Amino acid sequence: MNKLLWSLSLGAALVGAAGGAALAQSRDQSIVIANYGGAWAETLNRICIQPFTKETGITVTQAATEDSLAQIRAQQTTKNILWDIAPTERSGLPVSQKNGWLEPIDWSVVDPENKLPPIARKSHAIGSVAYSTTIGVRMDKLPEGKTFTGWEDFWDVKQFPGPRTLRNSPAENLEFALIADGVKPSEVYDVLRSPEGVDRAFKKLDEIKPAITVWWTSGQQPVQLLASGEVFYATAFNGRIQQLQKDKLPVALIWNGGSLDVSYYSIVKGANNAAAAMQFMKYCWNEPRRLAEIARAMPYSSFNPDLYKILSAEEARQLPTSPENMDVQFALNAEFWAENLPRIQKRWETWRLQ
Amino acid sequence: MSDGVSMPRDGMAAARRRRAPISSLWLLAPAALLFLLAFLVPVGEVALWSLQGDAGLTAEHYREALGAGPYRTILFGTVQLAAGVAFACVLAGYPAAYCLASCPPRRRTMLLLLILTPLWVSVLVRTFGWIVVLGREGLVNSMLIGAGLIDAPLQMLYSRGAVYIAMVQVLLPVAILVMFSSMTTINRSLLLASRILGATPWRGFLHVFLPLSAGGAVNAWMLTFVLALGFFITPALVGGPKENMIANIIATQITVTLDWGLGSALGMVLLVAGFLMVGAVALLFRRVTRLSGHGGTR
Amino acid sequence: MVPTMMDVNKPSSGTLTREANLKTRSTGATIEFQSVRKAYGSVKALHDFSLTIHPGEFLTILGSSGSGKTTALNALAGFSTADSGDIRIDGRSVIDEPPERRNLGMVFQNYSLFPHMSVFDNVAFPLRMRRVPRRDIRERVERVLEIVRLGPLSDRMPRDLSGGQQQRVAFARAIVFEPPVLLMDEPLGALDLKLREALQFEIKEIQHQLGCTVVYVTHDQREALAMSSRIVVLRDGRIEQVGTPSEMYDAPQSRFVADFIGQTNLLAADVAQPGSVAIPELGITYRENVFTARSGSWYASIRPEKLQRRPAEGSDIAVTVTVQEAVFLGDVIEYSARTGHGALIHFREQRRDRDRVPERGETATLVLRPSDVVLVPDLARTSR
Repeated sequence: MNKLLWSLSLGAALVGAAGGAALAQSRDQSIVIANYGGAWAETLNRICIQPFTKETGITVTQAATEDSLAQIRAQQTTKNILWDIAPTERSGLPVSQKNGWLEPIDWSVVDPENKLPPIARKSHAIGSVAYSTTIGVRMDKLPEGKTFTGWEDFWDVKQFPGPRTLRNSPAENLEFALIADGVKPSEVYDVLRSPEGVDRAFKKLDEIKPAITVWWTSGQQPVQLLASGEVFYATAFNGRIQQLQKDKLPVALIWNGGSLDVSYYSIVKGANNAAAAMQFMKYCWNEPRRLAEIARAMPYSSFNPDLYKILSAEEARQLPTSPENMDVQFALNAEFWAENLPRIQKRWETWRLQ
Repeated sequence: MSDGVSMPRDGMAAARRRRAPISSLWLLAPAALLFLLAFLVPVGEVALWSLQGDAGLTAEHYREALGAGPYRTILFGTVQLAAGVAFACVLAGYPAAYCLASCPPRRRTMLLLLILTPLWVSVLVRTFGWIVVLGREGLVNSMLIGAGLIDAPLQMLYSRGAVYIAMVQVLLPVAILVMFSSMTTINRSLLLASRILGATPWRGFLHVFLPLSAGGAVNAWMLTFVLALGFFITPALVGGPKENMIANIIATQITVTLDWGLGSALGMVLLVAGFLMVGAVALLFRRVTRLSGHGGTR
Repeated sequence: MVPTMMDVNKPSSGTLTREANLKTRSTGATIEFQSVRKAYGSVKALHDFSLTIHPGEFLTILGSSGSGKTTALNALAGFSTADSGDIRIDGRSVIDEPPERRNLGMVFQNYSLFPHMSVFDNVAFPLRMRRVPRRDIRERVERVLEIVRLGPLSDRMPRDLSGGQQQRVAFARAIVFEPPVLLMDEPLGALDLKLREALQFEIKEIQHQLGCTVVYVTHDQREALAMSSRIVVLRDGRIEQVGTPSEMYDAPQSRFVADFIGQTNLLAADVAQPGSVAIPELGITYRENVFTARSGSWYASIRPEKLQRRPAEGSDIAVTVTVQEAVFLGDVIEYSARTGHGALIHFREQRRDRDRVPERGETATLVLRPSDVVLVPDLARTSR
């Protein structure tokens, strides 16, 4: 038995070493981007990856993942780095940065003309595009003669009766609750930073709780709930609601009070090809022409203002970063949530059970 | 009842059967190796994480997982739901397995195929099927409203009942297969014997078939229970607003809050709870069968 | 008593001491098969089967596999329904009754003991199904376990018993409710020869005490001869012959029965005129006055033990043979020998101490009486 184990492990070690060497060699002219798959990955492939490879000879592979942060942690813990570029949205960026899992971005390479605003120009990440968590409203279920304007109305079950759904997460829902309670979107985090602010948000959430038939967990769920008439009002990513509109469903998108979420991408510590990764970042996420192509393909948009010089006013109105939409939303504060999520998450679970 | 020669059932043969595993222990080696690599090693690692604090070893994560608070409640709720779902699976699957074990071979093959077909469809799709059927504007509500039986749609989806139905549907084939395979080992001539000795079909079933198939039913319960413990897609999609499974909490700890210590501790607690439940049921079953004079059936 | 039977109790208790254990001698029932037919698809398993079994009789249905013997038993037990005809027990038609209403004891070929029940619970099963009071059950089970000498094993599980012990449990379970009819389907088939012979004896003994009617199914003609009061030989779903063991042995009515039951030499025989029989392969012609067979082709059945090396007297017939082989069987010696006309025949002798055994190639003169030659037609003359 011992002998068998010994020879097996020896064999495994040999195969592993050979494979590793082969992999390392081929890595020289290639980078790996982790991604969440789906339409976004296809769009990237068409607009960025294929022309990038053609122009530079660097091959780009997309690796599908569902939990980027956990994977980054696992790769860093085991020192087995498989990715060059990884998504670091929400808590992902502050947590990874604090733990030293990321390489700093050389902005002289990625944004030499200094076009990006600070929100997209982090020391360890580029804000590629932004998407919004907005309210989707079934217009045919709306009481006659009433106009739905935002979070106050979402909370007003008397004027606007009907089942609702919110995401199963304290992040963004506490903010929404405060806005519904009269806090200005630009001031939500000032309120939330005080303990009373969190209490106030949960108290406000108590009011809406009976009207929530389901807490959604995956992005497609609220849209499907809206489409099937299971709920009348839902929070959902703007792109998904716009897809419903394209499918001719009577659904309205409310930007007012929306939560602007940035899709960050970082270079992981020990990446095999950090230089090529930065080259790709600039090529794909900081060239107005390609950003416009992306925005036309999917309603997610960059912070590079030159983008709106290319797009028409009609097209701009559909995008989360267009000036008129930016003004009525707030940007989700990743640092706040990185710091407070573990604590508030437990309170959230407790509150849901009550 | 055939003219064929029956199997010798003397003590010698039994002794031979009992001795066989020792010499063929080697055959277990590949499975044991796989078990070691694919189960013991990762579980050991998770156990380590669950005990790691910022400064050395700590029981803090276990205090958090088991102390008064949401996690303990959700853990109990999960075990309760899984036990109930497994019980419902056994209850609903038993007659089906009986039918299957009793019918002629050709029809059996066809029925088995029908029972197995849903296993080829992903759990997600099967769960969405229930959304279509039970939704506010779904099949059942449309039919009830169309028939004038109700005015407003019933809230069937997003409730514990919906979780039960959807989970039972997913796990039922497993329960049926386990019970069916144990039932096929029951010698059918025992039922004829019970009849000629004075038992009506029902009493023959009750006194002979039921106790002989009870072991299979308990096994089916255990398997579906363990599988149900790990469910999270189905409860998340059709469960009510208060529905939460421990697997969802673990996923949140691992991927969202990145509290791997707590996530690992919850995982370990779930593992141990599963073992305890299964062990307790197995023990109880042996106790009951011994007390009623029914020895092991297998 | 054979020692292997004593594996349970001390060998002190003889069979007779057990007799007092049964209070009443229940009387067996009459069983009538009336033109029972059964076909499986195009295969006719039973043709027009009619038979009356008398109270207390030990009737054996003998036949090879596929002869219809199991079909007949299944029809009687109620496990399968006859296509037509009637079955009556004590005059009452049971053809439409389920097995549990027929009140029959049955021992199965593979015993069919309930594996999840102890010996006691197995034997108590028919009493519980009949809702016998608890205390009576204990008493009756213990009594019957005493009869089959399994008393000390009543808490054991079937899997912990030897084949012979399992067989006795099955037997005890079948008789515990003192059924008027006991069905046995090759109950000894799985046991070794010695145990089988011992149990044959015991079964007969207990049946004698119970007085029940036994319908016994077997393919083993020796078992049938040893146990039965009457034998029915079935062949291809038809009755070939019915009779007592000695009738079957001494006066077979067909070539099949002569061949099937016991050992025999079957030789072609010509009946030239009433009373004159020629057996060319033995080179003999003799006159048989009582014989009334019609002229034509017959078979002569001569049992091996009827051929003897002794001086001829009276009307005895002598045949000269060359010994081919002698098989020593302890008390008897079996010989095969060739006649001057080329036929291979067998004969058998009781062994006596000082006899010289003829060796291979030696000639011997065998003598038999004309009455020991049984003439049988190729097909059955009568159907019952």
